[in-house]
Amino acid sequence: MRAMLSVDEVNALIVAGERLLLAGDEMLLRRVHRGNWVGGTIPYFIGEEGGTMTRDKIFASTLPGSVISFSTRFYDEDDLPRILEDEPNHGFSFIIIPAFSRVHHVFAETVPGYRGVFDRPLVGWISGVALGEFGQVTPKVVDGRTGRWSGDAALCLHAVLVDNISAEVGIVNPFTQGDGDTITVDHAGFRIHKARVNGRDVMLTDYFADKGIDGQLPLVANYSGAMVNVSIKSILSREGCVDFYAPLFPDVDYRLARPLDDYEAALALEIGRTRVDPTLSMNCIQNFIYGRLDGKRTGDFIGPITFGEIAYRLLNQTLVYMVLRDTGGQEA
Amino acid sequence: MLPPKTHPRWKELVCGKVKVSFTLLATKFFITRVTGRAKIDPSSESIGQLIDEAYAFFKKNEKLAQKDIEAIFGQESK
Repeated sequence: MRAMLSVDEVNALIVAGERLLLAGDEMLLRRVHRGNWVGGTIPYFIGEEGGTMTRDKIFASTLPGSVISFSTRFYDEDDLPRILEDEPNHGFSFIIIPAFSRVHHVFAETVPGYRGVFDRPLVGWISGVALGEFGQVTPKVVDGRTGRWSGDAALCLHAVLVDNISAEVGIVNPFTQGDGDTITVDHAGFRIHKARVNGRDVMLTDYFADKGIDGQLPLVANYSGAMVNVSIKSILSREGCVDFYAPLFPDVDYRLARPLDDYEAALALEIGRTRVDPTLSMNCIQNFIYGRLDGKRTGDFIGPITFGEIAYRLLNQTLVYMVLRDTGGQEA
Repeated sequence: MLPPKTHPRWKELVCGKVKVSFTLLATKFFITRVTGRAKIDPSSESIGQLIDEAYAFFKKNEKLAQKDIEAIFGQESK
């Protein structure tokens, strides 16, 4: 079950013994009873009636019966390598990370390089706040079992699945690489000063100014057929740097995304092409804004609108989903 | 059935010489990781470690990644 619910409805599910993944405004989540749930703060959702911003409802996803058991744990930036050690041999790990925290940055920059990170499903999202509350309210995560809240640690739920069910993580991305210049960097980071364009050293702010790049389109990297966006947060001409919502990595070729004639239609088309029955999904705040998803439905892909999506690694402007498949026996 | 690590296709895979379309998102990310590492360090020791990694990845995901395994190894994986 995935639905927008009142606090009373969520509490009734907890009393009934349901195990829940919650997303909602902090004030609402603080009224939820202790129990078998984890949550993150965000007031934006794609609900049954479409995209919305609300402080009246919580988005709740129940863990299906195929989840035999689960454990929860907080990770600060030094603990992140332990996520892989704690992952169940057969199951999935669901992670929520507070936006703008140190662990958000360290996760994005280091976890994709961990040996074995792609071996088992890791899915999740970056918690956030109302757009008008940047800097005033801290995005948070909460473990309903203990009542512990955090604005600076990641919270991970490690779920063990029955033998015949396996979790698959997928993405829906309206963007592809354009056919323009190739941009590379020497060091991983969210903030980039110098880059190479077709092998030539440039100040990235100067290059963006010359090309009229304003930040609406992300840079896109092609990971063996998976298009991975890195969205431009701000172009700081005075400081001579560009801030991104995810890190750029060395040895990866980035290109500005191919422009979309109609963002809303392109996103709807890609969602329509993805024929799965998701157990979880989360969509990006930038898709919500640029794709004009307020009041728009996105099929079965309902869930929180997030400040970043995690499908093994941090993604931007992407819909992430997890589907449970009958694989008929234990994976080796 | 996953071919043994001695199969020459494993080396071709980690060295980026296998040009097929992958289905599973995890495979796409994984292949990018190992082929990138092989470019940085093409020594035989490094390639051997990457083959170990690739074998472990596909062994753990043998059922979900079946289409990708077939794309890499063809009939030999059936």
